Amino acid sequence: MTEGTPEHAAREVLESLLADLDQRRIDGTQTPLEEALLHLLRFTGFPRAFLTKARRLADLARKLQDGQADAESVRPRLLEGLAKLLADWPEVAGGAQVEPSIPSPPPMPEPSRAGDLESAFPVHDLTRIFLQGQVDRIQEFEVLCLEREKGVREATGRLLGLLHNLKGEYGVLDMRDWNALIHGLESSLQSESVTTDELLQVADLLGRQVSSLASGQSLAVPPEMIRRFLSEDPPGMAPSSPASFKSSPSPPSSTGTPVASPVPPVPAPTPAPAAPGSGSRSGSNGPASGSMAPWLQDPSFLVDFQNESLEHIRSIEIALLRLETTPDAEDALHSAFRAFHTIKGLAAFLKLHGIRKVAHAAESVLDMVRRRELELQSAHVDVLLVATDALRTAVTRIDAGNPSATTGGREHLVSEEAMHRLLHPETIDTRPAESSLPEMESPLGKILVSEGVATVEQVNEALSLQSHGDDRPLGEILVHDLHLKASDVGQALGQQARARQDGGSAMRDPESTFEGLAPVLEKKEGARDPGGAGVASPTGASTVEDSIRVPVDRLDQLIDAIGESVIAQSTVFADPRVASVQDLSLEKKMAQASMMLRHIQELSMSLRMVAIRQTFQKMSRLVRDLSRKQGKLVDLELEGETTELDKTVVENIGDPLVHMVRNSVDHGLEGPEERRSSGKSERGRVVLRAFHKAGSVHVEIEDDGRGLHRDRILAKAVAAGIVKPGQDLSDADVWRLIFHPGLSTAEKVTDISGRGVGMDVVKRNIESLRGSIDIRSVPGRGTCFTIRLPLTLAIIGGMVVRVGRERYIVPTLSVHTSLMPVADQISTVAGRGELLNLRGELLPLVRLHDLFGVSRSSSLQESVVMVVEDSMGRRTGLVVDEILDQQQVVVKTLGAGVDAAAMTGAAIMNDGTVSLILDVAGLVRLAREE
Amino acid sequence: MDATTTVGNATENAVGQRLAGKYLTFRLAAEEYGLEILKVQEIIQLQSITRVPRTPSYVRGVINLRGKVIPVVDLRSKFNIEPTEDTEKTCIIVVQIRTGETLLVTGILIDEVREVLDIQAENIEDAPTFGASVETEFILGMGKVNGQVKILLDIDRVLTDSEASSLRAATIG
Repeated sequence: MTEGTPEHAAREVLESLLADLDQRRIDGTQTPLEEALLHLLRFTGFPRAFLTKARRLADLARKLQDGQADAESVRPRLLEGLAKLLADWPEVAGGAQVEPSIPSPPPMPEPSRAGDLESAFPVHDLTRIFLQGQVDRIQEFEVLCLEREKGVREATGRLLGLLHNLKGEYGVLDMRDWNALIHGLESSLQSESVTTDELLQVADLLGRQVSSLASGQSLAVPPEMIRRFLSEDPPGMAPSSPASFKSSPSPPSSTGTPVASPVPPVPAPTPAPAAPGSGSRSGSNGPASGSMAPWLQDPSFLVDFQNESLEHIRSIEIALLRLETTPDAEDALHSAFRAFHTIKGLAAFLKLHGIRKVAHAAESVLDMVRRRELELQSAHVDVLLVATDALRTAVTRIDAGNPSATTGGREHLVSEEAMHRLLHPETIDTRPAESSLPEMESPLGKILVSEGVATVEQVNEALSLQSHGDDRPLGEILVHDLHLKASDVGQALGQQARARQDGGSAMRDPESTFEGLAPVLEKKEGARDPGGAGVASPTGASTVEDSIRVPVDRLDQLIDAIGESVIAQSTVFADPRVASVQDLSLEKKMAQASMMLRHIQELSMSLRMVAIRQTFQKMSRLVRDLSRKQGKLVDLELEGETTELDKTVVENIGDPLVHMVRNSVDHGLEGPEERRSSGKSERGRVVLRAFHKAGSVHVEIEDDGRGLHRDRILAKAVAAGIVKPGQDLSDADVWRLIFHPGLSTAEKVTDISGRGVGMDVVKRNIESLRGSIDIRSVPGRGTCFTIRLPLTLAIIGGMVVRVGRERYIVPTLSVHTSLMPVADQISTVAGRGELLNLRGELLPLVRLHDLFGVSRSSSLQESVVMVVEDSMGRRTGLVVDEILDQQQVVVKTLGAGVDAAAMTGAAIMNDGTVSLILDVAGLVRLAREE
Repeated sequence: MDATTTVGNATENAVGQRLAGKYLTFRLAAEEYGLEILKVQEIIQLQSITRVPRTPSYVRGVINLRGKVIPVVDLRSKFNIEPTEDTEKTCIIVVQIRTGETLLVTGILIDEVREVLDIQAENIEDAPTFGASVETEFILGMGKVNGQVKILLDIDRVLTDSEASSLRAATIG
């Protein structure tokens, strides 16, 4: 083995990993070991037995990484195996080669080279995203083939899943012959009539295609492959004639479509009316049914399916809502279509037929829209959302622990009526629910009327036939039942197709008087909304983000490690020997190093920051549903969706927001009648807004409803005994009453006053995020809730205080004031409790010394009192010896097993020692109990 | 194992078989203890420990282990051995124990680390019973090496059973 060869390098990597493993530097969450071992499989010339061993070890390493197995049982086995592997390292004459032996090596684009590729060839976005995933896919494909050969039980199942996804991706890129090839392979694999060599051949072929696509060329599927795999039943989506498989200079979308369209080529508009039953077109390509395959027993499969599907469902919702306001948003259309398609495929694969059926039906609707056979209306979106909800429910209900219980399910996920509407979207009554204007939604009908071919009555009659279950296309009904001339209808259809080709939905055309009035209005309303519901905002336009998904714990480890190195560096710099150095050039270098490190730390903190967009977008759906249910007209405006917050904050702010938005729509906003009579616009307005202010993030929920009713809240508060009758309260004090548990749980109050159900819970949730909430309200004009949140939970501002010889950190946020008391400010009650007179207010004093079992070293007059306020607004004075410093600290959890009531966590100080962060509320509670 | 061995031997060997393996041994007061090597994450020098108020006396406090805050249990105090001054041999063994789903990383403060021993099955005996006066629930068994007895600790029991619950109880009460 020569130095410098890839083989040598691989060995070195393994050796150092062995050392790491031995010294427990590798734990359950970070092991490049699997990767390193799998890397070995790419060498040729190694004996098969050796590779098998490496493969087995990689499995073990993955188990360790996934935490599937008890780390302590795996680690020694791994150690031993690795040591043996290195000891048995085979001597390969001339060194092993990296290239795989079977067919010629496709030059696969390495991820690191993606940048080069990108700059060299203006590769289309979608294709690029596709390509990025491909390199990994193909690698995984190869690995799985080898696993399958070895008889690993789940390999076949995972392979099938992977192929199915691949097939879908090629389908999306409209490379039908590839799509068909993979489908054929899938079928062969299912019937176990394919060899590993053949699988690997396809893998190589795919690799070549990927590198070719990267340079803008699409390869043709070799004829022998077509012969081999296409004798199996062809997929529903591929052309049925084998002749068409030979086609293939079909270039990738990168070269085929204008840059303006971020999607693969759309099938040409179909002028002909939809053929009956076209809904099932992209039909049933699920595997043949039969008894449950063994890999389905693997619960991790279902969990993966759940996670993946839920993600797709989320993106579907976003896309659908966007489509509702912007029906010509093709990227949203495609994204929803793809998502349904993927769910369908996965569900079929897992034999979850109920889910498959619904997803399939929904997909078909979108497919019709895609092919311009159906104009998407609000009502269609409604039905699709129903389907989406049903999917979510079904997916969530899957019990991974008991797959057989779920896979058998053929129950109906949606009502028959909804299913019917899904399958026959053209029958949906698309008249907007709010408006009683008679609407003709069929564009064909409009054209016919405008051309004088048909009368409004005729079209309406045809439409009503359709809505009563006649699933023939409109044109057909008009010709057959209403005796219009087929040629006229044909002409109108041609016109319809042309109008579309002109770029456009007639919505952009002001001349088009026959276009639905409501959608135009809707669009106008929507246009006021900057990025709201994603209307054509530059950021909202792309639903595919260029990102890498990393497990959160790995991220946290990185952040921890960087934080740690900052501390390590400052301990070095604080060392007297270093501090005494008087050398300008060295100092410069040190400053440089420390600047870089700080920069890295800032970057690392930003990794946890995510935009609040997703949380906001969930609200669009909520508002839509609520307003429909209540017959209110509500516009939701989203502002500042790109504002970033710590991931934990974003995740936890969702529930309180849902609650408050719901309150705003339910109780805050009036119905259209009431609004009109009070001189407001019929449409209520709810604004969700996020912005930065003074180092924290503010989230506001503002409505222009009736506002809070001061007298009623007060009356209820008095009745509940929270406020004394006649007590003089400011407006702000009154508004704050709705957060009082005694008031907000009283159901009746909410009916009258409008607000309050569970507002105490909202407040608690927000406080647990170290945030606060304020209310502004003007009767008759609306209410605005302002939530103030810290940018991140990981860092807090803290005051370092001394208690005896110990240091503690008091979160700055909970400190009201701090002062050095003078003698006449302090009084004693019954010889026990001490009170501080702070400008007339008497506050109980808590000596931390006593609470923490530290001997008192100074008198009260020499101490500092920090006045803190708990969530109930009660103030308490904490007595400490002195305030040492004020600084930002990184919050760490106290080690598991230490559960100290008065501490929220710990922070590592500049000298590397640990200081505890006080939980002020807990502390005060503790002191009161004693 | 020979099927004809006596019942007594069989049980004894079963204990030995189960417990045979590598142990990290350490000294606490006059006794030597053994810790299953697989539970040991690392051994670190004594460093400044931050006391956590209102926790039981055997919790020395918390330390910074490369950016992670972990608790340190004083084993002397835990075993009711009279306290002593820390020496330069005093050190912290960081152990990983599993409680349910979570991995608990805890430091234990001991007088001196000795060595890693491979203790054979035949040299391991069941924990003796001393009557009510000595608690043996923390003891896995007794290892005999070169005529010396090593007390093989069930560190999971030491740190979890009574520990976790008492930690919490102490802070609340």
